[in-house]
Amino acid sequence: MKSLALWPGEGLTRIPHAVYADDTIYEQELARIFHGKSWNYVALEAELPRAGDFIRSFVAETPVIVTRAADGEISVLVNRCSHKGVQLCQAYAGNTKTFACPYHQWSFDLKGKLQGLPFKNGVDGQGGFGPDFDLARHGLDRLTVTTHRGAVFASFSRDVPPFPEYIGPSNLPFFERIFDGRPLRVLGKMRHTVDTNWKTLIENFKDPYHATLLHVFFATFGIWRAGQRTEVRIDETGGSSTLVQQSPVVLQKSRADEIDAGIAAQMKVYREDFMKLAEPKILSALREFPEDEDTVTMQTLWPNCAFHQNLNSLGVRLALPRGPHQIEVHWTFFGYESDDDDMTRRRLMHANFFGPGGLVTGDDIEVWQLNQRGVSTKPPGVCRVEAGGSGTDEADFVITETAVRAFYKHYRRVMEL
Amino acid sequence: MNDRELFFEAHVLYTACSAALDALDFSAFLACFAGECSYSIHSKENIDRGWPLAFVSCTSRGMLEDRVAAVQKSSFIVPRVQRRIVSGVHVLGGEPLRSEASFAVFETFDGKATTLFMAGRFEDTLVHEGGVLKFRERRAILDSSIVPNSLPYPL
Repeated sequence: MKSLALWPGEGLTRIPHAVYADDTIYEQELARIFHGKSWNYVALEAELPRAGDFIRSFVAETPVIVTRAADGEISVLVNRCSHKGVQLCQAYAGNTKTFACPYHQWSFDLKGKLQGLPFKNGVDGQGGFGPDFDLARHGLDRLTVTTHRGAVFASFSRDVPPFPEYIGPSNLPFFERIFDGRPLRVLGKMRHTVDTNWKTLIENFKDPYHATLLHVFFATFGIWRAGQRTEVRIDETGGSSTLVQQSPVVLQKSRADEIDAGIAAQMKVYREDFMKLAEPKILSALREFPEDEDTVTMQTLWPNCAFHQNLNSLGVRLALPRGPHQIEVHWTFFGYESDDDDMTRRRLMHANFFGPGGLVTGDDIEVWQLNQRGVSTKPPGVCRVEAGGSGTDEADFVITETAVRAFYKHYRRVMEL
Repeated sequence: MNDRELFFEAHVLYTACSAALDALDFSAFLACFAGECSYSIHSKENIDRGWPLAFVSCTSRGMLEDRVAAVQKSSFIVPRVQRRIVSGVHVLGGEPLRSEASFAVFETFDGKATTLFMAGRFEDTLVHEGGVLKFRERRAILDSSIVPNSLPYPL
């Protein structure tokens, strides 16, 4: 790989723009990060409840099929016929016993094993495949799979630490707050592109500094909690992190405490000249995790996955790289099987803050595109990430980029940059 | 009211709504909606799978007003021109009065060529209020399950 003297002498307080825009670095990211020792989120087990269920997903640029076989085993298979490379499965999801290639009808089972192919012995004793052609050696490419509390992860490597160790003890309790063992219920998907680099989305989850400045929805409507408490949790490698922040609105302990009186009282403490929400119910959220004191979490899992628990919205998103200059963001929103209609209604209402039309994340998507234009500008420059000092330690204050620096500590190690 | 008058009124409403959004005239946009109304934008995938999630889900007029206020006052949106082409308005009848139409939205950023942003269809219910036809329920269903970048404005 070229120019290993890429990183400026200042170290982690600088990020060279080339990591967002250079084609060679991008190819190395695919090889070393996404095809290396990483756990890549691919599905929720709730999407595959029965034998034969499958969904399509991605590991970075690689299309995969996530399946559940009759014995319950989950497989993650590259969606590519072993014969000529035709994309096998076109449906987003379904239930099947086999995947048959439309071209020559090679047929594979739910674990990717080649079950059979037409005219194996030729026609009239002529042609076909020789006696040495062993079906067992021509299955689909399979990835290593692990699951944790209902989330499914895949890896091209057979040598990745167990998931709890991989996400790290600082982050695991917040993962397990959401994935607490209760069966999940999928509420829907959002998918959109963004003309930006995949790391830009992930860094955003590690940057509490921007939130007060870019996302003015709450402030515009007079909803602001002064000195909003923030904790930044980071795993030992630096790759995964969790922002734990005081919720923008008070999470109501019970429905009895709740709006309209609750929200109205909360809004009253703010300046009279702010705009008023015509429908304050959009902010009405219940405290739902017993050990939680009114916080929201934004968690990233190395390399490109993020989980959110905000108001009553729960979701996971993937920043799937499509070259250095574009991502596809695939979101899955979910709740629990045990949710009543009222809770489901809240989760759906609070989804208004997220996705491409999100009242909060819409701001990010606009800025990330401008960010990509800047980091692609020749000659390349550097980002300066000095908020909260130059270290990579965990923090308990809001104006810090420590988790961004920690991410690049890990990135540089994996990329040998 | 005969079918011809209703068809004409529906065309006036659909045209007014598109023109208002193309011009970023949000009070004219809101004026297209009844006092009790809902507005949502869905992906084909969520509809096909029977999932309730929507990109945008305003279940009351208040929520729609808040979203429009956010677009104007709090959202960061890179300026662009959007042009809505609404065609095939099809008043299906019934009570409440159902109506459908196809839409395409073109998008133009400063210094860039025009692109097709989105295509899909509206599934609406209409109501007469003060003698004027308005949207009571508007559902935009996108043909694609993938949105190019962001969805900052109503469709």
